[in-house]
Amino acid sequence: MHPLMLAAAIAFWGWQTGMWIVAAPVAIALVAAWRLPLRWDLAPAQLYRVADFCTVLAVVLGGYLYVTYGNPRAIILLFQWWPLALLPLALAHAYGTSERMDLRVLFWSLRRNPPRRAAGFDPWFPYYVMWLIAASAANVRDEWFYIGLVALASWPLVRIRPGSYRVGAWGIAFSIAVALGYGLQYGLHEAQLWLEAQVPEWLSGAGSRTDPYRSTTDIGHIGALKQSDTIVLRVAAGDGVGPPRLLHRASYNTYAGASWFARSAKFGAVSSSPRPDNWVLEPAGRPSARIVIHDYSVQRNPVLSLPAGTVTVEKLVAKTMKRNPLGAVQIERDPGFFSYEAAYTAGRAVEGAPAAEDLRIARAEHAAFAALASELGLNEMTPGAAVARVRRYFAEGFQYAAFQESAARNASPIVDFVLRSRAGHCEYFATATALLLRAAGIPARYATGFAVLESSTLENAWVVRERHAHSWVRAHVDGAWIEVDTTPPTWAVIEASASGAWTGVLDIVSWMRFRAAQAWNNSSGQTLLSAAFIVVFPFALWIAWRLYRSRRKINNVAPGQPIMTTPWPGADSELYRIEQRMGELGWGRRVHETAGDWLARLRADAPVDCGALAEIVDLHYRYRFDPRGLSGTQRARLRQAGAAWIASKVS
Amino acid sequence: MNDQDITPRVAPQALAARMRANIERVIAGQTQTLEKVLAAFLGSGHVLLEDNPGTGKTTLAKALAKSVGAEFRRVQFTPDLLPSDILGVSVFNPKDQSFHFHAGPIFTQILLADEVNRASPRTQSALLEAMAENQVSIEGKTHVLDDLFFVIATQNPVELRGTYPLPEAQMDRFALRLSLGYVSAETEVEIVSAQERRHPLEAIAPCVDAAEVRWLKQRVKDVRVSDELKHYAVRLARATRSAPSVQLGAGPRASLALTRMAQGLALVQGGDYVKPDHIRDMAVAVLAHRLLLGPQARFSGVTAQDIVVDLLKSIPVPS
Repeated sequence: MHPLMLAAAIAFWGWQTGMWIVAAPVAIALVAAWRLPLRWDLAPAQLYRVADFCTVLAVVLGGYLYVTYGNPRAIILLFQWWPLALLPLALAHAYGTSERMDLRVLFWSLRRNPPRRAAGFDPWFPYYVMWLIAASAANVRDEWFYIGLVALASWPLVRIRPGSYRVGAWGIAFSIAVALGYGLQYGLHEAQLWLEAQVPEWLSGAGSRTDPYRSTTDIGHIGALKQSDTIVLRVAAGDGVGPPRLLHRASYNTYAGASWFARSAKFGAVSSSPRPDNWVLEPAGRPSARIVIHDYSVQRNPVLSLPAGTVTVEKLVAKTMKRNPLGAVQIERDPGFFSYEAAYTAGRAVEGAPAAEDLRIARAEHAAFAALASELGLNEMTPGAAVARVRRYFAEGFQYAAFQESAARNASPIVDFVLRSRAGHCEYFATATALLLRAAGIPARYATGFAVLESSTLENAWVVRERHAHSWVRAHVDGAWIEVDTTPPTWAVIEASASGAWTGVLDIVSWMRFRAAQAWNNSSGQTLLSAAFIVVFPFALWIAWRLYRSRRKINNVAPGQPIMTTPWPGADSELYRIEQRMGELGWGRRVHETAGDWLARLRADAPVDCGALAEIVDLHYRYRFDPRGLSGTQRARLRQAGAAWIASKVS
Repeated sequence: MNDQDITPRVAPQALAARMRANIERVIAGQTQTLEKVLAAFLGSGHVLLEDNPGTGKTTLAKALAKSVGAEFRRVQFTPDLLPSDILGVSVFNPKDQSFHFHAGPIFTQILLADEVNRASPRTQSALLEAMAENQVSIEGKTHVLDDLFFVIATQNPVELRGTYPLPEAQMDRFALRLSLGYVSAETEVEIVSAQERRHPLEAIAPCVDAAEVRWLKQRVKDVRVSDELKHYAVRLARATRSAPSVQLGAGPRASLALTRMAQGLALVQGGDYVKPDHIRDMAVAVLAHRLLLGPQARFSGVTAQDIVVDLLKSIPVPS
């Protein structure tokens, strides 16, 4: 493999990731190995140790990325930095003496059970590919990436192109492959976008996503509603005070086709004062309680989970914060762990004044809900009494069911729920309640968020799992928005009964991740990095020193060194001058090579006349190692042949 | 018989070459191993062949015995083999009311100890005295063995069940440990073709006689070794003692064997003095089996061969 190819791949990586500062020294260090005569002869055990060190490095790197960024970003970043974790091994190989890498370096099983014949491979091509994959993980989606990738991928292919193929035909075939590749990756990308649009819940990992503009419900879907046990929020309430039962994320005002939408809900900026991490939602409000919420978001600009009546959000580092009239609060920051303190006035939701949307019922549901409202006599009651009547209505005749048996025929599923099935999950209850209240002339909104139900003894905090996601109604009664949750309280028990067998273990893992992230956030990243540097740097120095100490030779007998220091006979042999001359040409004898080995190597590779050299080596051997020595004529012959050889080489 | 009356017309190198060519008619594609075995035979060192079944260990031993016209015996080592089964036993003869010694198979010139690690340590150690001192002591009486006495032991490295690994002292008695290894596909085809009608072993005839071998063994001692190379051999052996992850290195017996085997190899390869290449070529076979590795080395998969190869690379070779 040509060293410049590797350098080009590393440069490509630097370009794609923007890490020029890292890429440049790495490329120089690796390419220099082809130029410098410096070589360390590492024993297999030492190479094993370097490989093991790389493994540890990769594991540490993966752990660090996972804790800091979480999946799936950690995986992408790990791919991006992977070749750097293998850099020690690559350097050891580049500055080592063997061309091929022993498979035992990479596989423990082979070390324990060495094969009869050592199997080696050329590691440079895989390493080259690894850099290309790492460059692609930078995910720069422009056409330059594809052009660069095609160029770098075609380079080795051009080099190994079989001579029997004509250049034209080969070029056309290659172009077709490139075009097919581009089409395929484009198609794959489109297919993924389509899939993501179709099944968002398949792809939602740990943490939850909230779209403040739209909430797609499962109303009308047949089958079980299944959500994971993953912990998405941790809530710490003040001493003696329980946490609020509901944490609100977003409200919606328009119901159409089994989805709720937030219409005419433009976001406006929230200002922070007096400190940049202190966000004031309700300047006039007087908080009566406060809670600390630890959140984990997979989406870029997360929506906060806040108790009703939040006055200020404190200790939250974010670029900007904005909210809409429906009470959704969104911040601008990267995915990952973050936490904040919410000061709130219990029992009072802070939202914009009711609008026409908050009373609208779609045609499909209007008749049924209007009839129901008059049947319950809601129109004659005060709003407060009407809300109480609605609560009682749902508490009496309805059941919670996470499993939906059949769909309604010819009727809106929500009408079917109210009139026929009378069993459903929280989305049914919240939607039906909102529509019923609207039919009674009370402005109502569909609210989503989480219910705080579970206190964890492990974490000594309240934990909110993904299956605690909940929806309820915010109704405007007597000039304030109140929360109306009509879902039967048994829902949490029913949901919990479906939790997996591994939940306990996963909780511990989740908690450890959370603690690690907290530790990372508390000590600012800088401190931790410098601490890591303090630990890692001496370790790296120690390893370098160990390697240096155990170095066993510098490849060639350096030109200009004293030719021989031993007191043995034959020190004036002409072969030494030939050796020296060849050393200057890069074909010097290695310290562990006998003159015979050296000759064999020259015979195989070097462009020199080895026939004459064989005679000289033979005479030299006899001169040096035969106690009887050379005869006068033989000594003269050695002298003459050596001189002739050097003369021919010099000319 | 005096040395000088034997073949003064033929150079010892030519005689050794004749032996090699004769054996090569049977053992194909194993020139290097064959040269080393011959070097050990002529240098009075015993050989341990460690290899998979069917690689030609027994054939090699038989071919060597046939080529020199020497007496050849083979003992198959089994767990119930007793020392007396090898050394011999005294039997009471009621006719003359006295004990008569019945010599065991060890009283031969070339002994093939097949699967030597299958016998119990007690039986294995019956070979100790014979191999080190060319004599056996039975019931207080010392019997001197033939001066051609040469042991080729084989063991199978794959199967470990029901075997007794040779103790270090026993290992040290072997001058060389070699493995034949598999030959190339072409050579293997040649072997199959050669044995279509009959085994080539049946065709070979002795090319030297015992007296000539005795003379050759003397000539090995005449192969010249420079002081520098003696130092090199000693330095290699000593380096094994301080090598990392080695518990027990090679003793002075190894330095001696290394020099002697290099002399043998020089003669077999047609030389009359030892070159550094000879010592280097013999080092792994002479030194590796004498090393006792530490647990760390065994865990990390480093073999004794690896260590000797490393030493060869790290110790500057005289040039």
